[in-house]
Amino acid sequence: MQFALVRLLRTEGAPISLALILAVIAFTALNPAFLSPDNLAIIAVQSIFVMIIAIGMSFVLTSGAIDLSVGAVLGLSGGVTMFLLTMSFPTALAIIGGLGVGTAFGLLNGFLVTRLGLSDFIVTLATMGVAGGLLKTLAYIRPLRGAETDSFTWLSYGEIAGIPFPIVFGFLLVVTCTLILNKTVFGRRVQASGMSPAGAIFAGIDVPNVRLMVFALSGFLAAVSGILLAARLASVQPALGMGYELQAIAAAVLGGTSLAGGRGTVMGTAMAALLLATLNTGLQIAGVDPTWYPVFVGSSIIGAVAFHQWAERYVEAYESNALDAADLATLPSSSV
Amino acid sequence: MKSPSAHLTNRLGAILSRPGFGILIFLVVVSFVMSFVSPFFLTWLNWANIFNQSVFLMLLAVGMTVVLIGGGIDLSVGAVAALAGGVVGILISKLGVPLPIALLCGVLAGTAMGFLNGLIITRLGIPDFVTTLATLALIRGILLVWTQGVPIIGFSSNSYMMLGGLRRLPGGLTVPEFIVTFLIIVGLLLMRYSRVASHLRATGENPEIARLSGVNIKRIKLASYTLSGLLAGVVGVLLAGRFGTVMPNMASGMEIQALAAAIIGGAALSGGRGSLIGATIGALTLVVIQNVINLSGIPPVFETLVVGTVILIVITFTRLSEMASKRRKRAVS
Repeated sequence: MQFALVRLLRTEGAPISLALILAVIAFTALNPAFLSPDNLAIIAVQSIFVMIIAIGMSFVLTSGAIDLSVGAVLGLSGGVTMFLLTMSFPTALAIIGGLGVGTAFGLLNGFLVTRLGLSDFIVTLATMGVAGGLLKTLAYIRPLRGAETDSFTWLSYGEIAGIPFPIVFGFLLVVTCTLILNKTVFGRRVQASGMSPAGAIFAGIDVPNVRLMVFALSGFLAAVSGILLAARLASVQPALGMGYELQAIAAAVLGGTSLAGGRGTVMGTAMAALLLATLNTGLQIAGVDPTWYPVFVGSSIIGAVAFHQWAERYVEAYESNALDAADLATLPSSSV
Repeated sequence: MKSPSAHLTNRLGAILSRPGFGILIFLVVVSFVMSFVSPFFLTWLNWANIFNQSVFLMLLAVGMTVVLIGGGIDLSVGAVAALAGGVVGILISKLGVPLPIALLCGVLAGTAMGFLNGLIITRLGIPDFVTTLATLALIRGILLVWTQGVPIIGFSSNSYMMLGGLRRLPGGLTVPEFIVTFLIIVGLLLMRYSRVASHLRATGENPEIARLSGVNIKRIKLASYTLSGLLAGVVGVLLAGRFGTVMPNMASGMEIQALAAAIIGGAALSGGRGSLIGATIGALTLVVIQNVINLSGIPPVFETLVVGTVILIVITFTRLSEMASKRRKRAVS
């Protein structure tokens, strides 16, 4: 029994998945309509946008840094793509433009943080202002709507084998990024950089370079999310993406990624993003006043982190007990 | 034997490497340039306005600096300020509580929220960032539920307007300026001479070593968050007087500005480092940038762009000059 619990707690993303299942059961009990496939698909699609940037955030946090600019970069990339579409650029070029801007912001963040040694917090706070300001400027030049092509709209409304494209995309992204973080040399380097930067340097890892790439990845993913969101909304408001960075951090931390660096999980992050979207929709369906939403999110974050701390201590205590027991068992009987 | 000129260079280098000095130079340069762009910029009236606007951010930045020095971070200050203002507004408008008692309750509410942050962080061991992010959401949510999005009104009075700095004292100064100056001076003296301050720095620098040296790091952290809540409470109470209404989203985003001011002023997120004067100048700079944007006729849509770019330039410039002065020092030795 105890062993099974430890196994569960040690499995990546398992506790948050459990919380997600409990939330789904609770909301279904309140209103059976919650469990309809249509509703679940809507929730999944809604969670994708935060999920994508939260995955980028998980990489950044795991490497021991933070990126506050993702929300603004998300908005700007969506805005740039929409802007290029309104200037009758081909869809593919417009998307490449958006991705390019997002990645450029990621690289700028990474450059300022790793090459000039500036604080990641203040750098990304400033680029958040720059990206947010640029989006406002774009929206000031011309309204960012009314130019969607069919292929652009397909990005958010298209289906592959009856499954909405964003869900397929999100699934593939989660699988890919889980593999990158856990199974590749690069992923190991990201974890080592966050766990102990000095140790990583002694082990021959180019920590600044790893962080630079992680920031670029975060900017790129923010652009991906922004473009999908622009396709979903069919217009880009000047404030698009504001506050998304906090939701991304919340999702990453809820999923079990450590703000102190070194420990991160893409699977947990994805589940947490789903949980946040479930709470949002579930509370609405249950007829709860939407003003309560931040109260629920705030308290669930504290609850989730308290739970993680407890789980960590529990697993540690169990393992050290198990070790002691193993020691005793291997000792020759005469010495006991 | 050092030559007098080398001694002088060293002294100059020491002053130059003080946190907040780069930003001070930036302020002077901007003021100089702006005096040509707008003749109104260097007038007494404009600066009286700038000071009157910057006091709130200054106080929040000072509180943030204290928390940062202790190795923490407090993202909830904006929400706490709004809560404190809301408490005062409700007490006066709905219950007819006399102003001084309502003010006291508002400040106490802020202090209590800070204390709660500190308790969650030190007793439950939840990271500072997560805790205060969560209480930020929690308090904003409570305010929204409580007010249903309708601003609290009908609590303003002549004396409260005076207190909030909406009315000026004879001579053009305002009450909040005096209150904030007083609090900052007290803070400076405490940071300089009190033992608690060195314990705070030790806690932020290296909690483990501080603990082994006999510092009660949990109590120090709890105290720093309580102080941050107290200052946020004071800000909220003054802001309510300034605006005459309390919106549920009052002071939203001020936590980020306060953080930016503290870090521009030399505080480090890694703890142990920070300067109250630097934070004050940092806050002043942010307000001056805002003022410059208004006066130079830049359309408001460009505001965030300009503020972000300026912060980037300032921190890059400060960093480059730091690197240069380090290189010079190495060359000297």
